[in-house]
Formats: sequence, C-alpha cells, structure tokens
Amino acid sequence: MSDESPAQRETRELLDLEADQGLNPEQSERLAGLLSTQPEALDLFIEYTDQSAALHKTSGQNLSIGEELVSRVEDGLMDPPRPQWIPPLGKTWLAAASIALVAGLVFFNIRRLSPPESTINYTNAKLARAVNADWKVGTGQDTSSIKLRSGDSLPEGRIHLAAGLAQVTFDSGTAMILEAPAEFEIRGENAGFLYQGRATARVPKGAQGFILDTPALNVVDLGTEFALSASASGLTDVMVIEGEIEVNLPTPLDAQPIRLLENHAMRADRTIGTLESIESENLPSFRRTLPSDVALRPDATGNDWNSAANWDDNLPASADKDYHIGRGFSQAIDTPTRKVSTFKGRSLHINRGGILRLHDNGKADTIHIKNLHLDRGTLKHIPSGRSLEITGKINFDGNSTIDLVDNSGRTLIIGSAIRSSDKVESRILIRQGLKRRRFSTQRESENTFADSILRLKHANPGFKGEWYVQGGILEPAVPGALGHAHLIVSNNGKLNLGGKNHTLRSVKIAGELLEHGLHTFKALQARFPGHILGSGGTLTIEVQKQ
Amino acid sequence: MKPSPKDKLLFRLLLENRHRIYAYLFTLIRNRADAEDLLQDTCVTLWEKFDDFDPKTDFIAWSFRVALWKVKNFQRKQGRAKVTFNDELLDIIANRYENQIPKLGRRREVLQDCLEKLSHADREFILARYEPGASAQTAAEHSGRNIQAAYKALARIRKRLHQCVTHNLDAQPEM
Repeated sequence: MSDESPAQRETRELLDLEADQGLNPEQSERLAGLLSTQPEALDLFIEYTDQSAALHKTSGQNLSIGEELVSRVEDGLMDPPRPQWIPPLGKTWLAAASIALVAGLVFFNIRRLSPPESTINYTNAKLARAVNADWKVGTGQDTSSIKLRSGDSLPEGRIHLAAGLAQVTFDSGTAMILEAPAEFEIRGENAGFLYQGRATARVPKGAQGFILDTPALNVVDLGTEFALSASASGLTDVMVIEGEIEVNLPTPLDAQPIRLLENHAMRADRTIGTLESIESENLPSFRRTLPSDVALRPDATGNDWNSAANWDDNLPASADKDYHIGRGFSQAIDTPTRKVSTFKGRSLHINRGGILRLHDNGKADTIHIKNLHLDRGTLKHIPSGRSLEITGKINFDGNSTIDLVDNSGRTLIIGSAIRSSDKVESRILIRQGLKRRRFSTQRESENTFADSILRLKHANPGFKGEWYVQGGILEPAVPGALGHAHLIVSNNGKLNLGGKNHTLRSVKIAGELLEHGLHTFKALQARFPGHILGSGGTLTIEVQKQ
Repeated sequence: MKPSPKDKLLFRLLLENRHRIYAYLFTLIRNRADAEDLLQDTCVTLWEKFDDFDPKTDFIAWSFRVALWKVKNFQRKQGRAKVTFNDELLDIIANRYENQIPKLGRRREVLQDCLEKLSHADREFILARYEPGASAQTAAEHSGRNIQAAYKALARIRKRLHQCVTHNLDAQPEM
C-alpha cells in the first residue's frame, strides 16, 4: 500500500521540514497533534524516522557502545591466556603445535537469541551458484520445496539442501560451499548455523569474525578458509584450510575459545561435551569449489598446463571452467616451452601461495591467458630467450608479485591491459633475484649482469593500485602504461620512463615523496641517479582530490 | 580486571542491538547528537543495572525501558523550551514503536535494496546528507544544488525510499 492519507502526507512534509530546516513551535505542535490523534500518521512517523536512523548507520557511523563497558572488556582481552583446555592423551604434540588459548574473544561470538519467526522473510545472504540443487524449508512435517536461482536471496530460518551443491554468499562477502544433504540457517550478515552437513567457508579480508555454529561447536573465523562437517548425532569436525579460527563448545557461555591453526582439525561431541584434536589427513576431503572451479592437483607434474593430469577434475583445461592455483597452499605450475602457448581455460587464478612460472623456448615468445587473475599470487619469469610477452586480460585482485629472473638483462613484456580490483588497492611488487658473482666467469658476468626488465606495452587506465619496484627495471613503454596508480621505487629498483610522459597519483623514489606537479627526466636523474634510466620522459604527480 | 560472564553477555547483546536502541532514541529525541549521547548513557546504565536483568526475558524491551527513561530525564533537565514531545506522547510513540520492531527490522533489510535501486546521483546525495556532521546545506554544496532544490530532492528521495520499502514488503510472499 503506497497511497497516503492526508494526515500521512502532512506528517511526511513536517518530517522533511524538521530534518532539513527545523520546525517552528506551531509546526512542532501540529506534528504532536497528528501523532497523538492519527494512528496512521504515527506509523508513518515511526517508519520515516527509523529509515533516517538506518541511513545514519549506512553512512559509516560507528556507534560506540558505552566507553566504560568497552574499556572493561578490553582490559579482559589483555589478560594473559589462561590454560583451561587439556589435550587428549597421545595427541599432545599436535596440541602443542597448533593450539593457543586466547582469553576473551568469546565476546565477539554474537548469536541471535530469539527463535526465527514463523513467516518466511528473506536474509541478505544470496545463492551465488548451485549445481543440481534441491531446496526445502521448514522442519519436521512442516517442510515445503522452494526454488532458488542464482542471485536469489535466501530465506530466514532453516534451509535444507536435499541434493546437489551450492555456493552461498553472505552480505559480508563470506562464501560458503555446501554439500547435500545439509541443513543450515543464515543468522545475519556474517553468521550462520549448520544443523548438519558439510560446508567450507572462505572469508575474505574485511569479513573476519564470520561465525558458523553447529549444535556441537561454535566457530569464529579470524580471516581464513575452513571446513565443517556436522552430523545430526551431535558430532562436528572442523578443519582449518588456510589462516586460523577460534573454536568453542556452545556451553558454558564463558568457556575460553581455542585457536586452531592451518591444517589442523578438531572434533566436538555434544553428547559428552568434549573437544579434541584429530588428524586432518583422516578427514574426507571437503569440496572447496563448485564444479566449474577447478583446482590444481597437489601432485601435478609436467609443464603442460592444459593437461588433464594437472587438474582435480581430471579433465583437460576447457573454456567453460575457471582454474585455481594456490589458495593458501604453495603450488606452482609451469607454462610449456613453445613459441606460443595458450591456456585453454576460461580463467586462471593465481591465489595466495600460487606461482605461475613463465617459460619460453628460447626466442621472443608469447604466453596467452584469456583471463589471468593474480590474487596474492606470483608471476615468475624464467626465460631462456631474451624476452617473453604475456597477453590476455590481467587482473590484479590482491597484492601480488612479479618475480623477474636474476639480474640477467632479460625482459618480461606485458602486452595487454592490466586491471585492478575496485575493492582493494592491489600492490604489484616487482623484484629480481641476484646472481652471485663468485659462481660466474668473467665473461658470463659481462654478458649477463644487467637488471631484468618489466616492460609495459599497453596503456592501463584500469589499473589503480600501486607499483612497488624493489628490484629490476620497470619500463612503461607507452604513455599511460602505469595507469592511475601510486609508484614506489626502492632498494635496487629502477625506472625507465621510456621517453614518455606519465601521470601518477603519487611517486616515492628512494624514500623521497615527489612534490605535486611535473618532473623532467633530467631533474629526476640528477636527483636519483641510481634509480632513473633511459633518455627522456616526464612524471607528473596529480594533486589529490580530497 | 577480568570481564565476568555477565559482562560478556551484555557486551554481546549490545553489539547486536545497539543500532536498534539508537534508532529508538533518535525517534524519541529527534536529534542525532542527543541520540548518540543518550545511547552512551543508556549503555552505561544498562551495565550498572545488568544484575537486575533476567537473561530469560527480552533484552530489547528492557533496554528500551531504560532508554525511554533516559529520554524523559534528559528532557526534564533541558527544560520546557527544548521539549519536543511531552511524556504522554513519548509513551504513545514508544508503545507503538515497540509493537513495530519486527516490521521495522524487515524494512531495514529491504532498505538496502531500495538504496541500490536509486539513481547513482540520488544515492550519493542522500548518503552525503546522512554523513556524520552533514546537513541539507553541506549535501547541497557537495552536489552543487541550491538549497531549495536540495530540500525538494531530499524530500523526494526519502519518499521514494519509503515507498520502495513499503512496496517490496507487500510484495514478499506470505507463506
């Protein structure tokens, strides 16, 4: 119902006046009169005001919650850890290696206390993707099937994934993969409850504090990926895939949480109220991706990156799937040594711990990847020829590294546009190893001891992150190649302006921040002789808009 | 000093509910700075009186009772000239507000979607208006509007948001 009564209209106009210009005494009295006598005016008044209060929150205001209370709690956080948890017999080595007790963090274990309402409302969590999924809502006799499509909001209350696989995205950005049969409930923008089933949660930066509880166990994520398996009989296994989490028994409320580190696992048993270490290797493997996401096999060998033997779906790389290397594990894959080598997948993601080693067959060769994503991963140049060019879309989704070959004078060319994520300011670290002189002959050193080069052959208006040149030479060979970015040149890093003019948000060379305005090649070379190469070009530093 | 289990429980309850308490205070006191001060005050009192609170009962109802009492006290201290609503009207509003809590919660969820449905310019404008310390004046300057146009635009956007939320709540399936 969106038609308003005359009383509601008048109330609304008074509220706008009040918010933006203030009310005079007559208008105040009129508003009070409407609210005391007209119920529909009162309802509109409450809804309108609550909407404004919600926008106060949306605009980034941090509502502090009582300084005295907070300081009390912080005092508690700073107390030394109290050892309360005693590891089961024979498992002490694991306990010692993996577990630190932390005091106090249980405060952040926020759970909804009231039971879910009986009508269906929708949460802010969404179904990102699903494969052969069959959904039901309700409990016991009172269940009904529902249809959910990708992008749909998930209902409040208990949701049953009766068949298939699903990826759920919380409002906070946390992504959870569920394997049927599973029963779960969304409990706020960064919290859920798993009644039973298997789930893997990947919590991005900024969403730390994600809570996933089961009947037997409470988990608070500390920035990580972890997996849970909960059974209806009251057993829960939890395993940390990357980063760390805190686990706690649901009762008593003031029990100290236990910090669980990467590759470690625990089992909670609700019926006897215990929590003990188990060996993560003995747990059946958890699904961390949906089928269109393919991960590099731990035992991948050889350098044919399209080969079925490398990928965990046991199929050759194909144009309808996305391929992942890393994800917290150290993993590397080599490109084939060919004149032109093309990766056949839809995209290749080099995640944290992942390294893509770029090879050639000794000439000026090309490597083509349709969509390369670097999210805290590394590109490592290992050429045998003078130069190697990489083409296709390159996306920097998080701080990543380009590792140039040891100071061998060789060139890695980025032959296409680079983009950075809008969400994070990614830093590209450029570095090179150094060959040790004593292992080389005089002749070799004449030929090979020169800095390696990263040449940007394309303008990069979509790059808004930071170039951090710690070693090697960064050579933006066309105007705009550095994008709308920050630039830091330090240690053994060098910059060759390529005779072109470049505009950046900020530039720091050898620890000195350049002033706003235009800097000529000549002036820069005189000021930073070891860091500026080439024969011309300018750098302009923009005045930052506030 | 070690926080007791009760401190932890209260801290958790406040983290969960502080936005609701703030909105409730803002509805009654009609002023953002006063609502923020009263939220601080309310939290401290909730902590002091927490021994009286029975965890089996409704925390929101209890905290609203304390908040309402804070508002009345505050107005009493401010003196007659500054009183927006008298105690009798405060009770009427408070009572109706408490009945509407579940619905207001749903409205807030839908509000986010409705914000996204606004044009980019409108969304930026309304969010600029509600930045901490902002006013219609600062939002107008920020967007290059004259002040009369800004008043009109703000009224229009608020109304649109309210209608969008109402419409979308009605459109949700009844099951």
